[in-house]
Order: sequence, then structure tokens, then C-alpha cells
Amino acid sequence: MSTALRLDRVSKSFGGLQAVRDISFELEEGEILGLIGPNGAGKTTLINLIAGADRPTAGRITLGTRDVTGRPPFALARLGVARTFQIVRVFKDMTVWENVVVGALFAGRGGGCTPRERAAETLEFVGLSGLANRRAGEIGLAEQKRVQFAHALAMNPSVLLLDEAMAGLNPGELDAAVDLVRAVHRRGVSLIVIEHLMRVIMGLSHRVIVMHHGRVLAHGNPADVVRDPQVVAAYFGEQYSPRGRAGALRAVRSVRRHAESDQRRNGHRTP
Amino acid sequence: MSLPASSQPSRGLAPSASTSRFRVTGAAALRSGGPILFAIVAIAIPMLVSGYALREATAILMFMTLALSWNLVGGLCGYPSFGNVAFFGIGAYVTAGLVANLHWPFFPAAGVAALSALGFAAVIGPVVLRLHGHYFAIATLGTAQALGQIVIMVPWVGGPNGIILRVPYATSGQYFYYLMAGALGGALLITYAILRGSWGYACRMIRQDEIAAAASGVNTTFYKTACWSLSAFVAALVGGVYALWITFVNPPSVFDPLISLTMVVLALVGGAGTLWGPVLGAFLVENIDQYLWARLLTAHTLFLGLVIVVIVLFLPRGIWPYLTGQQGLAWRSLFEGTKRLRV
Amino acid sequence: MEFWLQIVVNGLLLGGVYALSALAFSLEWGILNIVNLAHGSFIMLGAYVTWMLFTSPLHLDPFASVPIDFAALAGLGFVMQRFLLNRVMRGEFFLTLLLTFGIDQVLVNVGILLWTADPRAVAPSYSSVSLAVGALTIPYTRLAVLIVALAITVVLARFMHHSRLGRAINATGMDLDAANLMGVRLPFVFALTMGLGCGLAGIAGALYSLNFPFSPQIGGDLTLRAFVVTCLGGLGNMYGPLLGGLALGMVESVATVVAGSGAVDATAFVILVLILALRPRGLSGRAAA
Repeated sequence: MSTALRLDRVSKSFGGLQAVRDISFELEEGEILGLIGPNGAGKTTLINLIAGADRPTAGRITLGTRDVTGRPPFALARLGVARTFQIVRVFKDMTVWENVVVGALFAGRGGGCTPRERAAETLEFVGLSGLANRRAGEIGLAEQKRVQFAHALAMNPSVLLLDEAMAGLNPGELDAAVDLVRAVHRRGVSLIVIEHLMRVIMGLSHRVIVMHHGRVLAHGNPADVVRDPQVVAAYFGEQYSPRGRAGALRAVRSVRRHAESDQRRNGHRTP
Repeated sequence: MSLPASSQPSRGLAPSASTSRFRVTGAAALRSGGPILFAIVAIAIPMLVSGYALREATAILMFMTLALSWNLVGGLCGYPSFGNVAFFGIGAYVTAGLVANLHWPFFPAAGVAALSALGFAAVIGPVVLRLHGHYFAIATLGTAQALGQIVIMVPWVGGPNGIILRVPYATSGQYFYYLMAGALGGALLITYAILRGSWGYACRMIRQDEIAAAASGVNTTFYKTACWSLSAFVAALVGGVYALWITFVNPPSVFDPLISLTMVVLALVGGAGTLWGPVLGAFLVENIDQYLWARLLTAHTLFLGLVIVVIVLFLPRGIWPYLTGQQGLAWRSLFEGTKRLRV
Repeated sequence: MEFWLQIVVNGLLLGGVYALSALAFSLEWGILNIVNLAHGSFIMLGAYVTWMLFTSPLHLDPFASVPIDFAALAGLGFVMQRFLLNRVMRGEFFLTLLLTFGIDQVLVNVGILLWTADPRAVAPSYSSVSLAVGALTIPYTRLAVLIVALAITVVLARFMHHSRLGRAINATGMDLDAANLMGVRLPFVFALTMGLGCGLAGIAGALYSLNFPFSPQIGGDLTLRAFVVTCLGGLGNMYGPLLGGLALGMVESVATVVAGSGAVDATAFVILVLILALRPRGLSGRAAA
């Protein structure tokens, strides 16, 4: 398997604040990488760095074989990096159809079909064909998230960055969203998924990276990462750390149970 | 890459609930018939009127074109420039300088003037367009003011006294009217070409959400600067025609900040971001203004102010989107947002 | 040496006028996100109120008319916000700009109708008296403006940070929806803030009338300078307008001597554009929306 994306000792500081410190990892082609961590850990900043919205203060970002460090967002979009935003951004005065077609228009790579065809196909794939003529500003939040997602898909990305795309969805919408992400993955897209919902991360990710205070706290197999005492301390608080053994075991067991049941239910394979 | 408009939903907003069937057919008729009627009337005017009325009509055409030029950067891209008079002034001054001092013929002089403005805009664009909202507005205003002051210190263009042009061939009111109409036609063509294709989409995306636009693959700096440069080009063309028409150019007249403000008002009142909005806005407001000025010398801007207030409160997107069925009356919807939440 | 000291002092005194004017403007911009193009005309109205009271049989001293100016213009601003501007608070940024422009046109013309376009001045007996400090001349009336500007800045800062109403206003400026959810009555707070701003403009007008000739058309220039000062001083900080005003006063004072009065505008604007390009937050503020 080749590398879709690689980060080498990437750092980012804003004035005195070090948001991202010395982060290195690789995203393999066809992999789903979960990115978790407490709020303020630097996850969105990392996504911004990969997508070009911010420049790293140090380090290198490689997309495939190409060095893309410091390139502007539109260049990365055209090279195959698509992203969604934590607070959903759609073009409110354009219709759903227009929202999707502009993704294909400005960043759509190859594929042999016209932007219109790609847009129609993406709308179908995501299940939004019925809403095509509605103004994006007038539909509900869950639909807007799907429009944002469809827009990113229409860009025909090789790497898709999802920033808390599932926040605010009810359980039914959540299941549909997870299925959609899996369907996208089956088409050959590599994904980095930021989420707070453990069940989603456990169920989707091949590997998980945990960030804390701008650094990588732990990485690896989802089940292993969740048992790591440092991760437990960071997420659930010191009182649940191995020093508070009983609480830690309780917390870890509950998450593990959910993760394993999800894995069993969905027949998910771990490398 | 252009998208055939016919097979896709309209680029405008969905009609509001208050749109009746009568209004919808009326709107469609206006959209297709209006421009044709306008073209016919515009071409016929010089054959029907002359003298003072013809000069007024030429002035209205001038304001239509200026409003369209502002629309390219302010309406389409959402960057509220309050200094576009700078380009008008550059156009007027370069044309006047070349014609009066170097005895160039008019058309090449105007062409060079328009290109100089375009070049100037293209150079300062990437710097100035990094600002947004109020800051962009004041930066453009400041640049125009500064330019007006700098020109006073250049003797080649007459310093504070300005330049007087002598036109070497016979001209008439009709000649200038058609010159101005040509500039208007050029502005309409440019705006139409932009709106029709993917460029138009890029601008709308920039206007609505620049960050999302960049993340979608739109080179925002390029499109913004391009619109800004074209806006300069058109305004400078008008400035060139103005110089030849009035035969006198001096700093207070062609760097007047009120001209910038007028451009903004005309485009917003008519409908920023649309093709015909600025034209309609200029037509209505300038006609009302001229009518009132003739009859109520002191108070005509008072009524102008009232008209603006009424438009902003009832038709915030401008008159054209309302007439073409894209937006209902706004009285209620804007007020709702400030009511206290009943939790 | 003394020559330059006088220039600096002139600049500081001039800055007092600018600071007072900008204090109101930045309040409206920082809290309500409204760039009030009619701001200069409110100052103009304040000047005329003072003038009318001064030339009436009452012969009211300009300083005594300050509270009346404040009350009258605060009321006008309150009404304007409550019934007109509140309608467009959630609309596009262009709309408030356009609306205040329209209101400005109305105010200027009402002024011309009521008082004609002739320049006026308010000149009580002490208006040409100056304080002599060594070789420096400090006109009393200008010194008064600076002192008032300082005093109002301090009072306003205390009000905004320590009073319940002041904090409600601050909260509204930071996050509309959160303030709403906390029980702040938005339409009322908006109107109050604008009223406060316009009242301060009225005070600025009263003091302006003592120092400069005025006519109904002075608004445009004054609004522009308030804008420049606000950008220089930065938003979100009560002391920003003071710093910005003094800075602009100095720049203009020096530029008048160095480059002649014609270039004053140009230098001010060039500096403004540079500041915007290099440090949009201004000398002390946060970046505005």
C-alpha cells in the first residue's frame, strides 16, 4: 500500500500558543484514520494545516509523492484534498444542486465525466436528489451537513478530511452517516475522521491517533489505543487514570464493549 | 466551462411564498422583454430628444455604466469598494493628458487610460483585497482620496487647475451619447460573460463564504483581482468618455468621493450582483434626482435619502430581484431576528 | 525646538476633538457592528443645538449646553435605532451602510433647511483666551476638549465594565445570540447603545462648535476622520479611540507644517492604508468582524 498523505514533524504556533507540536504520521491509501482527543488538542488545526488553510511553522506535508507544505487551500483542493468544516459551511444562497456542482467544477479531477454528470451522480449517491432545487440556506442542519459532504465528494478527492461531521445528528441520522462514509471509503478514498463519538470512531477507523496539547498521545489499533492509560487520563480525567483504577476499568470496559459489538455487527476488519 | 442555464434550476433565489402566478409570469416577461425594450429605447433616444435632455440622458448612461463597474467587485464578489472613483479619475486624467498634451486621437487614448487603470488595480489588488468588510471599504476610500491629492501635485496634468481638452473634430450631443452607450454596452457584455460561466459561480462563492470557496478549489485571489481589475477598466473607460465630453478635468470633479458613494447606492438600490440591477437602479435614482433637482433645488438629496431608507427597509436586495420574482417584501423577515426568543 | 513642541501640543489638542468623536463611532462599530455614516451629522446637530441655545435669549454657555446636547441627541439616536436600524441588524453589512447613508442625507438637508448653509461659530468671551506655558500657547477651548475626552473615556470604561447595563452592552457586542439567551433584551440594548453613541456625538458637537466654524455639511469629513481614528486605535478597547485620536492629531499637525495643508489628507490616508495593510488590529484593538 502506498502512502496517501504524510506529515513529517509538523508544528504550528499562533503567537505564543503552540497548537500543533512536532506531529508525524502517515495515512495509507484506502485507510480510515480516526483522530480523537480532548477539545483544544489541536485536531482542527491539524486539519487546517493539511488542507492548506494554515501554514505550518515547521515540518513537511507530502501528498502522494508531492510536497504540498504551505500551498494555499485551493491548490490542495485541486490536488485531491477535500474537507468539511466543524461548523457547517454551505453556500446558502445557492441551491443544493449548485452547491454540489461547484465542487466538481473547481476541483473535480479527471474521471472522464462533466461537472454536471458528476454532480448528478453525487447527489444520487448521497441521497439528496429530492432536494436538488432547494436553497441550501433553507434546509435543516442534517441535510446541510449532507450537502457539505456531497460538495466534498464532488471534488473527487483522494483524501477526505471530516471534521466532526457527525455532531448534532440523532441516532438514525448517525447510522446513515456512518454507512455513507463507508460507501465513500469503498470507492477508494482515504479518510481522516475527527470525532468525539467513540462508537463512530471505533466502528469506522482502521487506526486511531489521539492528540493532546498539540502532540500525538497514542496511536495504533482502536482497541489498544482506548486502553492506553494516558488516553484514559486525558479523556476522562485524572481520577479515572490507573491511579483511580476502578473508575478507569469501568470506563475502558464500557467503551471496549461498544467497540467490539460495533465491530462484530459491521464485520469490520482491522489490519 | 459553462453550464447551460435552461436545464438547471435558476441561479436566483427561490420565489418567496408571496409570489402569485401573475407575478411569476410578469417577472418572466420583464426578464426577457425588459432588456430588449431598454435597448430599443436607448438607441432611439438621440433621435427623439436633443440639447439639455440629451445631455441628461448621456449622464444617466454614464451612471449606469459606473454602477455596473462597481457591481463587478462590490455586487458579484461582495467587496464593498468605496474608492472606485479612483479608476474613473485615472481614466479621465490619462485620456485628457494624452489628448491635450500629446495630441493623441481619442480612442487610443481612452484605450490606454482603461488599460492603465486595469494595471493599477491589478497591482494593488492582491494587497487591498486581503482586507474585508469595513476595512476594505475604508482602504479603498483612502486610496482614492490619496490619489486625488497626489494628482494635484503633478504639473503635467495641470496640477490643481486641471486640463482643458480641445477636440480636433466636430462633435455633437448624439456623438457623446453613443460613445457612452458604447461604454455601457461593453460593461453589460463583460458582466454578462462573467455571470454566465464558471467565473460567475466563483464570484458568488467568494461573496457568500470565501473560506469555503477556497476550500472548494477556487483561486479566490485570482478571481477577486480579476473582477477588481475589470471594474477599474470599465470605470476608466467611462472616465475617458467623460473627459472628452466635458472637455475639462480637474481633481475635485473626477476624484469626488461622492461619485464612489453614488455608484454603490445605485447598484445596491437596483440590485447588486445582478446584470440589470445596477442599470435599473441608476435609471430610477438618477431620474428622480434630476426631476427633484429641477424643482426642489435645496431638498433633492433629502428625498434621495428617504428613497434609500425605504428601499433598504422593504427591498434589501434591490428592486430588480423583487421585480423578477426572486425576493418578496422584506419588512417582516429582517425584524424577526431581533425579537426576543420565547424560550 | 519650541516650534516643534508647539506643533506636538497642537497635535495633541486636535487629537482631543478626534478622540471624542471617535469614541462614539467605535462604540457603534464595536458593539453594533454598524459603521454609522450619519455620525458626523450627529456631531453637526450637536453643534447647532449649542449654537441655538447660545444665540437664543437664554445665552446659554456652551459648556452648560453639553447635557442638553447629550440628552437630545441620545434620544434621536435611540429612536433611529429602535425604529429604523433595528430592522436591518440581521441583514447584510451593506444595508446598514446604505441606511445610515440615507439618514445622513436627510439630516444634512434638514440642517440646510433649518439653518441655511452659512458657516456658523460659537464664540463666547473666553473663546480666544489661551493658557501660556513657557513659550507654548494652549487655547482654553481646545484644552477643554482634551480634558473632556479623557474624562469621558474613563467614565465610559468604568460604565462598560462595572455596571450591569454596561456589561449587557458589552455582552451584546461579543455574541448576539448568547446575550439574547441570557435575557438581554436586544432591541432595547441596541437602541440604548446607539443612543449613547449619538449622545456622545452631541457632546463632541457642542465642543466642536467652540473650536471650529461649522455648517450642515461638515458631517462627511468628520465621519471619515472618526473612521480613520477607529482603525488606528483598534476596536474593542475603550482607550483605542483616545490613542488613535491623539495619533491622528499629531500626524496632521506635523503634516501641515511639513507638506502644506493640501497634503494633510493624503498623508493621513496613506498612513491609514499602510496600517490596514500591515496591522489591521490597530494600535490596541482586536480585529473586527
